[in-house]
Amino acid sequence: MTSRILLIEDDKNLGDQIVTNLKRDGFEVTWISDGHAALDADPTQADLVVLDLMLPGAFGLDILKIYRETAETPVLVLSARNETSTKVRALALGADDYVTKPFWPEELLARIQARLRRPLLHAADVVETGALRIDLAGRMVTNGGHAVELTKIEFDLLAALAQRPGSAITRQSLVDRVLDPDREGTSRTLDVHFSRVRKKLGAEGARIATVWGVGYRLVPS
Amino acid sequence: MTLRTRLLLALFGSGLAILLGGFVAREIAIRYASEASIQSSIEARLSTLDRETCEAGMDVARREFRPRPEDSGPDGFGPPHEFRPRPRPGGGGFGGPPPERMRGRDPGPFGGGGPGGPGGPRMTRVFFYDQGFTPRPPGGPPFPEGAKPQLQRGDAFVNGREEGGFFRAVATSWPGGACTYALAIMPSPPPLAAFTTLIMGAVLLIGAPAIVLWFALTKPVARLRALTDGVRGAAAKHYEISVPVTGKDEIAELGHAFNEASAAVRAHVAEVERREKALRDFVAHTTHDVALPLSVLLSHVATLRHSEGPAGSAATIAAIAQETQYISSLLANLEAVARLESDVALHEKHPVDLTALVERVAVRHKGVASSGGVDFNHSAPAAPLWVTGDVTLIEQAVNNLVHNAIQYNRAGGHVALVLEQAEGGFTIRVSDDGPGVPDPDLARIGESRFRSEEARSRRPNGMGLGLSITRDVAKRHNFTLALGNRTEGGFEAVLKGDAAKAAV
Repeated sequence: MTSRILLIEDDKNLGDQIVTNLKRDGFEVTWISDGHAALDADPTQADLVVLDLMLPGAFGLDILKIYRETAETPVLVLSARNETSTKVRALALGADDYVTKPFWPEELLARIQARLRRPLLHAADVVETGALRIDLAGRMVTNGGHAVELTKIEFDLLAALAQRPGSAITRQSLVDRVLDPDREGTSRTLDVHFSRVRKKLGAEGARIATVWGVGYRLVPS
Repeated sequence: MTLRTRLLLALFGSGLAILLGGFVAREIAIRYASEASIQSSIEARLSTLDRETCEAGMDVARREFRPRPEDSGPDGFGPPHEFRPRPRPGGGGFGGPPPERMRGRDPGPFGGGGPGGPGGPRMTRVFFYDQGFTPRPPGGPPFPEGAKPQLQRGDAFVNGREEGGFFRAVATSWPGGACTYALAIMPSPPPLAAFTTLIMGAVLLIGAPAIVLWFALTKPVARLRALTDGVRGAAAKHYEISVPVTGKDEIAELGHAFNEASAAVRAHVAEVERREKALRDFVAHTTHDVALPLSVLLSHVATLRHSEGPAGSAATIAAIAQETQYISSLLANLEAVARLESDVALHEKHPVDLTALVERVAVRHKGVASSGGVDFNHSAPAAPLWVTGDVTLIEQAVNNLVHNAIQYNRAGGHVALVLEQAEGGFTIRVSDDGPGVPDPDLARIGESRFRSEEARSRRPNGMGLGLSITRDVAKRHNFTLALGNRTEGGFEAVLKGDAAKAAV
């Protein structure tokens, strides 16, 4: 489903850029460049509002306040003011997140995606990537439909990565969570375990990526 | 109007009021004294007479009341008769000094008076009248019209004043004859005498104090003038000098007060000037600092414009991205410096979610890292990790560590940003496999210096401004910042601190 973004930004160039970028990333964008018009807009018609705080005709925080009276739509605040007080005030008034100018388009996109994705984070009992299917609740791993035999430690390590696919998990947290500190709780043994898991996963073993300076990550498809 | 003029005028005014009051009092006193004098005179005269003597006494009168032709004049009483009261035991009553004293004196053209005090030795004259108010002997002044009805009604006497002076009209105890009524007249003191009195009073009452006052004020006025000159001098030198103060009076107090005020002004001005200079410096440095990477950026854009084919442009675009990132990071740092320099204490402290903060910093640097060929990864817990602090400053502190790690790395290098929950707190670790920092510089980069050119400079192998800010922010938040080279090569910065006390 296409997510609808309501963009409230008075700067012509920046607004143009944001609209172009968001559309390219598959969003449906409504752009309002005037504060008064923004006050009349219906935030419930959007999945997310991107709100510039410095607007002619109305102060962004006032718009935020009014939107919050009627709508639960997440609001992401854009601000050229890199002031803590502004951020804190915006969050207190019900903003969900903020991005400070100047920002890379990727930054804005990441914040929007993070906000829209959030409700999905809870329900992930089964993680699939490539030919791999990791059933966290059932403690089962299949590769192209074939069950993969893993030891308890190996499964726990894979599950720790699968719980947050795409995110790098630190060695330390893997060691703390999975390995028994009395017997084999070292970073070195961690590498041994993962190399075994990779071997057992065959070609899909490449989906377990070593992350320099961090630890490991399950690469999503 | 000067102080002295004002005081002298006040003195003159009050002196004049006293004089006028005195003059009025004198007039009243003269009146009462005159009446008393007339009364005693007329009583003395009547007591020496009886009816027969009076009736027959016209001869006596002719003898005792000598006409004085030269006395006729403005008093309108015609040829008057001078009466010299006979001496009586106990003096002449209120009337004045004993008559003996007057005998040797020239009574003056008005028959007495002179510049003496109230009731002074002015000559009282007595005239007699018959029932029809005709003077006896003829030649006496006309009887005052105003007194006639009262006497006819039966009043014993009437006091009054006519043009020439005070009078007392009396009905004698011998009605029907030539001595039915008696009239005593005491001429008014001459106006000139009153004027002279006024002048003398003025001289005494105003002149003398004025002179005393003038000299008494000389020193205070001189001191006030000196103080004024001192204040002017201080103002001309922007209150950088104090006013010399001597003595222990109100003027000295004023001088001290001025010195205190000018000290306050000096402090205020110094503070304003300091801020102004800081602002000027800030703008100047910012302009310089931003102009430099902008120039680099422009040259990259120019290269891109002239380049042919996508191969060359990828590297240029990476450089552009890096330079743009640098400018944006620089602006944030300059803003942070401005805040850190103006705020001695950290005023804004709020719950800060480090997980979200690290995610923000990571996503900001992903693009630049990848376009520069640097493998940049990050890791943060799934759940929020709260600390108490200033989110803008902490974010900038972490930002600087990551920025440095990417900027001074090479294509093919690695940078990692890791946030981990530690015992009762957090650890933020930024590591790279870049060139690291030479040991001699390692101690130096820990120093907090925002202002030195060195700190602002971008490539003393390093880290300057951004790292100074990170260190300062860490200090203000009671975080610890450990900087060092990794044994495997590269550089590592570890920021540690306590988690927020209250759950958020």
